[in-house]
Amino acid sequence: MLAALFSLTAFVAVLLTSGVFYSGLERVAALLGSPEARRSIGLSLATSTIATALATVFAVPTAYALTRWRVPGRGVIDVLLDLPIVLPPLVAGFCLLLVYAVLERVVGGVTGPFDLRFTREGIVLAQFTIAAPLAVRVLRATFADVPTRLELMSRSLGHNEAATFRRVSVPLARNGILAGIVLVWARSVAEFGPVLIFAGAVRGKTDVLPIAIFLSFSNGEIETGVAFSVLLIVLGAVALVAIRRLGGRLVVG
Amino acid sequence: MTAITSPAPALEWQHVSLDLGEFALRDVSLRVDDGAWIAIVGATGAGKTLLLETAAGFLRPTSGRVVRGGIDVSGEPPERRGVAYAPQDDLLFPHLDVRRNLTFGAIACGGDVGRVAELAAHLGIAHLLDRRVAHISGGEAQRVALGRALLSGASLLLLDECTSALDEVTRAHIGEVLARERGERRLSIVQVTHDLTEAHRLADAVVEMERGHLREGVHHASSIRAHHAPGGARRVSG
Repeated sequence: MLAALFSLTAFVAVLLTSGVFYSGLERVAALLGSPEARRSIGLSLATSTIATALATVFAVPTAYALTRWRVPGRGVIDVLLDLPIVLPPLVAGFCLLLVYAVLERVVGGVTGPFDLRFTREGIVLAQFTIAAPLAVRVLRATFADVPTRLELMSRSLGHNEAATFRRVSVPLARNGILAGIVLVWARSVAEFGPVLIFAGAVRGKTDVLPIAIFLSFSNGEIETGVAFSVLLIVLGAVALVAIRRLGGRLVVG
Repeated sequence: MTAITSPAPALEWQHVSLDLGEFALRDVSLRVDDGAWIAIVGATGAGKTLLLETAAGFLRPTSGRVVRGGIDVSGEPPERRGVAYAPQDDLLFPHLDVRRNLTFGAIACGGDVGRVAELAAHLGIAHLLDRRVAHISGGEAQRVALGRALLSGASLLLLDECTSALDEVTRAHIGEVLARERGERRLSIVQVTHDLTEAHRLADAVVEMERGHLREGVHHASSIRAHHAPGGARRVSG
């Protein structure tokens, strides 16, 4: 048992540190400091933060409603909201493109600010497509942990359901919500498939970190790709530590 | 049906039934006159807490009605019942300190927030006001829950074993505080207790529950203490 534990841990550790051994920390730092890399990092952080904020705005009330209310068609809603999480991410991006194709047939095209294909706003939409259902799934587990008797007590003391949600449910779920936000943000930063299909892989325009890694390896710029990979691993580690400190759960359901 | 002397009793359970498996209420009818204090006694599992929680809006009866001030509130949410509940498990809000727990209901119901220091002093919890509820004892938590109910401004209190963790002297003192509050604000009180002596000392009437039923007959405290206020509980026969 111990042998399995140590060998698996060692395997993952070697895997995750291989980038640093390959290029060296100094080289990784130098590559990440280049203007192109900093722009790519900034784009990644900005889009994933906006996508996470949007996902949270939709997911908090949705998760609460699904946890506390008798919603008609609950089974169908559960499957629909979970599907983007289990689908191959490429399919989610492809579906986004198909929505536009269908809209073109129905209303004769989507243009102007509503046409998000191959744009930076499109990156946000692609990330949101996965982030929102994931946030709902995580936050449902969080709200399920809030004792309903405390909510009833709040209501018996004169606070209606909305006030109780604001004064009791959300504060009691605060750490779980924060952990969920960090998890969803980390997933959004790492989102590749839907971004590639819907926003494209255009250097200088839609090259968020995973796309930048893809472009670097495609063009033979191995060390640049390694540097971006190391950064994503570090961001993932920071996110995991944050989630752990907040007492959040990674296993949801 | 027994003649009803008061046109709008503070609270009335009319043929209330509820089955939660281990605990149940079976066709319970009981009237609490305005300004009355009734005590409910009975063995563990008799349905006393269930009865209070149907009035507080925590549980909905499967049949029968809960009538508050002449209005059927059986389907109403807890916030529309004008009832303050101090439950057995305290249900203090762990993210708030004692002061904010005490004023939680007063903020929503228009209770007198300014009385928090005075009431806390009466209840012996004035030194705890800025403390987190995780850092107070069981007996202190019970007094905070009671203070929160009193401060909410509701005219009907439902008290479930709210002094069970207190020593005898403190319990007697809290009884006096309750009696004074009741007199000053014309509160109606329904109190679940295992302490028969306390029940007879404080309440106008004592009713007993057994296996989800009210036992026949209401023990009016007026027969025990002649100087007590008139009124109380009536078991309503349908």
